[in-house]
Amino acid sequence: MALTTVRSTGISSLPAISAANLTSIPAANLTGTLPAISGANLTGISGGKLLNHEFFNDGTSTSSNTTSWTATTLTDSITTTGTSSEFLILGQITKASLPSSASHIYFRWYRDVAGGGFNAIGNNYHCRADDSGGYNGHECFTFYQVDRAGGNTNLSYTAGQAITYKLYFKCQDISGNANFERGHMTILEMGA
Amino acid sequence: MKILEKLHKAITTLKSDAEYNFDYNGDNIVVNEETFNTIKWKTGEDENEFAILTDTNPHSEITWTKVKEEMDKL
Repeated sequence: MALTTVRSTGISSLPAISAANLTSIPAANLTGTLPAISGANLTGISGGKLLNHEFFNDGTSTSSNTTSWTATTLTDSITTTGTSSEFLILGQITKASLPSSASHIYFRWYRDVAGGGFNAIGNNYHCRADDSGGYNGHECFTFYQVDRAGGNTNLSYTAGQAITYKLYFKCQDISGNANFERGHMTILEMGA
Repeated sequence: MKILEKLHKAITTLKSDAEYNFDYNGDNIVVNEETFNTIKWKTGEDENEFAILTDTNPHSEITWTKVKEEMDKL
């Protein structure tokens, strides 16, 4: 028989009872402050999109007139976490001086997956000195690249492999030397 | 004229088609015999259009003594 009515007369205090069998507790009655609880067993929570990140600050500068693709010292690796991730690579040459407005320099990202060799990805970044002064111009260049399966980069990897990105450059001609200083780069791995 | 421009003009005066890559500390540009010897010289290009670079100066025309002389003229 269900206990429906208990008269308060004569009851001084309730005994210690277990809540194990309580059911149908109205949500409105669940108020107050939660104790410190562990979320270790929570399920059904969607994770964030940012899976991993790397940052590299390069203290090296370069002066060069090479007309073939040449590696800069701006390079960093990321150990992949997810499958089918998308990688955003951001690099910056904080100070560049080029010989004249008639001389051009190209930059391009290269990528190596698990030591398989560097391959170009994306398009060339075509830079040249501003018209105001060649060597006197101090310009800042930012290079942005998305790397993923498909698209124009055709990334292929398996989770756990290391991917290395490196910025390369080449000069249009050898008439002048391109100088670029102190870059930094960031790699972000974003979940599919 | 800045020191890196002087270095470039000196090298290309001694050998007009010389191609090189000089990495240095961005806060402290020093061009002397020691840093000159860190220059990498292009000797060719591979099938992937990468520069083939060597630490060993392949140009007998370009020595530190001659480069210094040319830089001092500028």
